[in-house]
This record gives sequence, C-alpha cells and structure tokens, in this order.
Amino acid sequence: MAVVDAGAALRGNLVSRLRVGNPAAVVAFAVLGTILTLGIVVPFVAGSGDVAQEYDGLLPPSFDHPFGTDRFGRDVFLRCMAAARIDIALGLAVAVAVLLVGSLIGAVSATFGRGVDAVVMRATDVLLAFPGVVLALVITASLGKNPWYAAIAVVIAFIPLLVRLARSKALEVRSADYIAAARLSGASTWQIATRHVLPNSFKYPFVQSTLVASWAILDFAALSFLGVGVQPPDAEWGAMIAEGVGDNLLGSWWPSFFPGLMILLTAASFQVIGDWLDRRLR
Amino acid sequence: MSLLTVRGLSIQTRTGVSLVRDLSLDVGAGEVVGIVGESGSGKTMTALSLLGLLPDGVHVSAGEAELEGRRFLDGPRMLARPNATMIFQNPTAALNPTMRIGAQLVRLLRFLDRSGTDGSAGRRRGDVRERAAALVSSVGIADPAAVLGRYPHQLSGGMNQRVMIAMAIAARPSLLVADEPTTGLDVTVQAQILDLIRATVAQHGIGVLFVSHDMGVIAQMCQRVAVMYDGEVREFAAVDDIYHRPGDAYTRELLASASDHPRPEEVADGTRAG
Amino acid sequence: MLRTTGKRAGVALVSILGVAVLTFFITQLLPGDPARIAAGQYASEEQVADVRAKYGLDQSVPAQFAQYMGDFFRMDLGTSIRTDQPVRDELTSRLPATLELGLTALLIAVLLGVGLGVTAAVHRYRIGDRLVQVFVVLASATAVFWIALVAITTLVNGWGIFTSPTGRLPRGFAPPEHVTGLYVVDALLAGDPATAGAALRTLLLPALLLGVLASPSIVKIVRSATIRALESDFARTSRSFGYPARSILFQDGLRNSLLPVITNVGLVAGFVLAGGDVIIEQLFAWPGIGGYAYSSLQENDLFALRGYVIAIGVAYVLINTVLEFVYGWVDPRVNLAEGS
Repeated sequence: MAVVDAGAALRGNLVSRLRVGNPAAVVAFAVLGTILTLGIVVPFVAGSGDVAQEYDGLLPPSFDHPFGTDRFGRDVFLRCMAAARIDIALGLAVAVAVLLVGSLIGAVSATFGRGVDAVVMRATDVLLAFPGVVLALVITASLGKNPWYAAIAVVIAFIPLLVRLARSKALEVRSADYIAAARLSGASTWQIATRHVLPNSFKYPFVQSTLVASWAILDFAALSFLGVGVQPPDAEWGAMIAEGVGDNLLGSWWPSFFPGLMILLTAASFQVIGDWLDRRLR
Repeated sequence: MSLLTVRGLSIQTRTGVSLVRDLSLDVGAGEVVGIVGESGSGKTMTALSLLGLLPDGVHVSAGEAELEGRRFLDGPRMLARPNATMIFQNPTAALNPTMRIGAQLVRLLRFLDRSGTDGSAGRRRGDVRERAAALVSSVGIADPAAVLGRYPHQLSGGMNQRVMIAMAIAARPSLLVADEPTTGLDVTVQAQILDLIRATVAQHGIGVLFVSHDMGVIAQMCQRVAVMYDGEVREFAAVDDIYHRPGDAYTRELLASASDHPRPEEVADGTRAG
Repeated sequence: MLRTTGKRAGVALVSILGVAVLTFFITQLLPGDPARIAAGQYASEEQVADVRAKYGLDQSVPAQFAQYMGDFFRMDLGTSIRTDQPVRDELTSRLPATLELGLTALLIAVLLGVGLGVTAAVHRYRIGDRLVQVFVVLASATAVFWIALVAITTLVNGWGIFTSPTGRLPRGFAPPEHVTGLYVVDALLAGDPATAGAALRTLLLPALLLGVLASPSIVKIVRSATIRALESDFARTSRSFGYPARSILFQDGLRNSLLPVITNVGLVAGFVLAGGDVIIEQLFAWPGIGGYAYSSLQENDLFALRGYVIAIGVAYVLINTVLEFVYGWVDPRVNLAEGS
C-alpha cells in the first residue's frame, strides 16, 4: 500500500465523527432539545400549572389547553413542561453520577486486581442479584418517600452495571504496552488507575451512560408512580400518571396519557443518541 | 479445451471502488493454476466471485466465466451454480462451531443426495454415517470415528482443513478453488495439506484454482500462475517462465522478496511496505 | 467440569448470603427508621415504641442481625405488619399467579425477541431491519405503567378485545381445582376448556404487555448474533456448497445466535417476574407476589416488602445459576475452555 498522509486521514476521520449523518439521531436531538427548551421556557412564561382549580376540571385537549386539564383543574401541558426539567435533569444527573462512580470503581478494581477486584466483583454480583427497580424500591421504602432518596436508589441500582463494563474495558487497557511503560517509570497503582486506565477505558462507559439516562428516567418515573419518588402535588411524569389512573379508568385519558408520551419521547431520544454515539465512537 | 475460462472480470464495491479490473485466466482439467499477489491485490475477491460468495456491498461489475463450456457468470448475474467447491484460509472458522464434524458431513451428504441429478445417485445409497467415515478416511485421517464426534475447535487447523477438503471432494466438483488453504498452518502440516491437494487432483482429475500470497507454495503446486497487483493481472504464464524469465517489474520484486537473497535495487524503493 | 460446578454453586451461595446481608443493611441500617415508617406518619411515640418492641427493633444491631440470619436460614421471612401472617406463606400462596403471568410473558418475550431479531438480521441494513430497530427503541422507552393504562383504555374499555383487568378470571368463573396453581393448566387438567379459555384471555393482555416490553434486549442480541453468524466463514462455507437459504438460516444462523439468548433470559426474567410485574399486577388486580409487594409498599409494611425482596433476590440468583449451567451444557466451547 502506498504511503498514506496520516494527518489527512485523521482529519477526515474527525470530520466524519462530528458530522451527524444519521437522520434518527437528528430527530432525537431535535425532540430532546425541544422538550428541554419548552421545559425551561414555558414555566417562566406561563407558570408551572401547579395552581389547583385555576381552570375547570378534566377539560379535554383543546387550543387553550393542548393536553387538557386534570381533575384539579390544572393545565396538563404546563405541568408536563414543568416536569420535563425535573425528569431530564434527573436522568442526566443519575447518568453522570453512575458514570463517574461506576467507571472509577471499575478502573480501580481492574488495575489493583486480586483482593480489591474480588471484593468489588462479589459486591456487584450481589447488587445484580436484584432487578434494578426492586432494589431501588426497597432502598426508597427503607429511607422514606422522597424524590432525593429515589434518585440515589436509582444511582445505586445502575452502578454495578457500569462497574462491570468499565472493569472489562479497563482490563483490556491494563494489558497495553503504555501501562507497562508507566509502571516501569515508577507510577503508583493508584496513579495508573486514575491517570492511564480510567481515561483510556472511559469511552464505553460513557456511551453506556446515555442509555442509563434513558433507563433512569423510566425507573424514576416508575418509583414516583409507585408512590415512593416525587410526591403529589409536585409535577413529575410518573407521579402525574399515577394521579391520572382513576380518571383514565373513568374515560378521561389525557391527564395520564401525555406525561407517558413525554417519557416515551425523552427515553427514546436518549436511546437513539446512545446507539448513535456507540456507532460513532467505536 | 480449458475447464474454466474467465474473461474480462471486474469487481467493484457499492461505492464504486474498483477491486479487480479486466481479469482473464483459464484452468485446464487436471491442472493447478495459481493466483499470486499481496493482500489487497484482489486475488481472494476473484476466487469468491466465481462461487457467488462476494461479501455484502461487493459485486461483479463486468466479465463472464464458463465452466466445462457452460457459462455461469455474466456480469453481475450468476446464471447457474458452477460445479465447483472451495476451501478456505482458517479452516477452523470455516466449519460450524456448534455442530460436530460428523453432523456437518451428514448435512452435506444428505443435501447432495437430495439435489443429486447425476447418474451416481443409486451408488450413493447406504448409511450416511458410514459414507461420512469413508470420506474422512479418504483424506488421510487415521481415526475417522473420533474425528466425526468432535467439534471443530477440538481439532487442529490441519485436521479441519482435511475435513474441508473431504467435504469439497464429496460434492464431486470439476473445479476446486483453494483460497490460501495452508496459510497459518505449521510448515509440516502445510506440506501434508499440499500433498493431499495434489493427490486429489491426480485421483479425480479436477482443476484447481490456487490462491496464495506465497510464491514458494505456488511454485510447488502450480503449472501456470497469474500474478496480480492492485486488482490487475500483471502476468499470466507457466510457473517455470515466470520464475526464470519474469516479464514484469512487480513479478521480479515478488520473486525477490520470496527468495533468500533479495536484490536490493528492487526492494529499496520504499513505496511499498509489507 | 466438576470443579466448575462446585465453583458456580459456591458463587451462587455467596450471592444468596449477600442478598440476605444486603437486604438487612438496607432495611435496618439505612438512616430511615423502619419502626416509624411501619407505624405510619401520624403514629404517636408510644405506638412507634410498641412496633419497635414487637419486631425486635429495640435490640442491638448485632442481636438483630443474628436473629435475622437465623430466621433466614430457617427460611422464615418474618411476619407481615399489615396482615400479621407469615410473609413466606403469603408469598408461597401467591407465587403460582405470578409464575403463570411471568412464564407466559417470558415465552412471549423470547418468541417475539427471536422472531424479530432474526427478521432484522435477514433483512439487515434494509427497511425490515429499520422497522425492527424502531420497535426496539419504542419498546425500551415505554413506561410499563403508562402503556398498561393506554391498553386498558383502548383494548379493554374501548374496543372490548380483552376482558376487564379484575384478577385471573372474569366474573362468573370459579377457580379450577388446585394442581399446579396455573389456572390455564389446572382448568385443562380438570377438563374444563371454558374456564381455561377465560383464564387465558384474562392472562393474555398483562402477559403481552410484559412480554413485549421485555423483548427489546432479546431482539438486539439475536439480531447482532445472527448477523455475525450469517456473515461468518462457516455460513460462507455453507453457501459455497449451495445449501438452501433456510438451512443456512437455521443451522448456521439461529443455532449460533440462540446461545447468547440464554444468558439474557435471566435479565428478562428479572423484569417479567419482578420489576414490571409489581406494576402490572397492581393495575390488573393480579393476585401475585408483585401485587403483594405493591400493597406492602403502600401500607408501609417494611417486613413484608423485605421478605419479597429476599425472595426475588434468591430466585434471581438461582435462575442465573441454572442458566449458566444450561449455557455450559448447550455451548460445546464453554465446557472445553473451562474444563481444561
């Protein structure tokens, strides 16, 4: 093969990485951006819809109330938008927390090996013995019904997943030549774990954390639906659906339908972005 | 009359990158014809195209091919399945990892029995497993029963290549395409496999298209050889002629890099690595 | 082989012990006060003290732990605050309902997952594949409690396709004689096809919802494994002999792509038997252990909830251990690699 201009190849590669070039990802970014923008702007402009009896109860969707009003005469659209901030921020916060804690533990576990690794692996074994929601459920139930506890519970439920992933990628990195070089040059194991192994194995957990954001939104909404997360009258998609169950069974579908649609759109967007990142960064 | 004739074969990717351009060659019955070239020269694509095995996104864009006087390839269209079989590089991966060797042979024999249209159908009756065992011992495997009960990953690469050859013969082809069949095998095993292919040619009188990057192996096996570089045949002639009177600059370079004493003026050019 | 068997059993035992210990730590040691939670928000200090004394929460932590582990080894999951019944008995009597729902959902998830995964692989990078991908994204982004509500509104109340979500049988049907505890099976055994049909119709909607939402992970795995198999060297060998497409799909494609499904079934089982099950059972008034967990949660019955969590954790460990054995037994390569 003829000698290739390495610089040109690298530039081409970078450009193609940054270009979106995937219609599904464009749509996902647009949907997420719209929901987030509305979630920030609408409550400022029109209020968060928390005032009860402001309008007539259970008005079907109309021009004035695109998502209708709920049993207490609150505008469902305004509440959905107010909830968007909370749910998306929470999904992202959980993803970041899980990513940081999980990949640090994974990298340390892989780099130190032996005892540390064995303890970490057994601990994740035990945590993974519970389906995520059930673990989060019992943690929240024990701590008390509170959205912060629910968020922490969701973080704990997802950490073992990221630890496993980060560890397996870190094990691959650990055997690389430059790690041996760092070791020969006298770096401590902790330095190797945090300065070499972690940065170089970070990519895969990072991609995975986008999916964690999606699952976290679903699980957090589920906890609120079950009554251990956000408590009424605060607006949160899962809690809003729980409030709308009774109306739904009596024929008023909108108070519970639209919050669920928001969950679907948001979680699906994170999924698509995650898949896209996965293909881009691989 | 030649057994296989290929004329003007061109292969492209979906995006229009040309992999093989205007390739012509022929193979006679009982003859072993080689294609030699470095990786990326298009030799494997040529071999795969003859059996309609090109990977997704790669296709024949022009050219035609005949086997025993019957046209089977016309540009992008495969007109018929040629009576040809193929053995591959990395024989262990070429066998199904979740099926025992015996089951894979039985699968082939049953398929051949069902689709067999030649007059030998009557002779093929009898216990499939016995026929499988006979087939395996015909390629020099000493303990057929043991091998039939094994999975590919439990056998050596050489043993798996023998199995592949047994399967390739079972289909009674008139042409065998061998794509780097000994690359990656130990030198002694390599010699055994080459012997087996030679014996097979002698016994069945079939033609072989033998693809390799190794000029030494080509010289041992083939009567004639096509030298490929960057998708084109640079030279197609008898091995003796190519060896002693190479007509092309690239052929000389290839010979030099294969022999023990390369001529410095021809390899120090620096434009070509690997 | 024997060594790996022992090793796997050991890991399973350690995990089960871990489940017990972890559950104790979560329910008894976290900053929350179980007695106060159990007694209720508006209970007086005396009521809280009563609860504390009754359930041994006034003792030292080591003493509580010893008591708890002793109970655990005697398979005693404690007493429900709400019903004053042994939690183990309550869970056992409700288990068949959950198994009937969960196993049906699991079956649906596997059939749908394999079917769609293979379809996507056969039509890879083309329209059929894209449609399956859309399904995967939507199904994995759908909240189970929301789609259940939508389904009840439309399929049950709107169009009357399914029976009302009122338990395991419509009104007017008596439960069949108890043999397996699975109503459809028991009714068939009792020679009562009408009851079996009614039970199946009632079962179908919640099982479909759980199964469909659990299927995306199977679709993904089957799709990528089948594509890998169909583009493999051995599939190319099969094509070189001219085997029919169906033979290549089944013998080379599916055979090699079903292996990873086995390991994934554990994860899916976690959803259909526990995570999604709690919500679905509540919405469909299904009298299983998920509905029990939901009621316990609503009534602050921490001990019943703890018993449920232990049971789920142990079941999950056992399922995954069994699946590991099955995997080793089905895939010839695993045994060789670990046996040597």
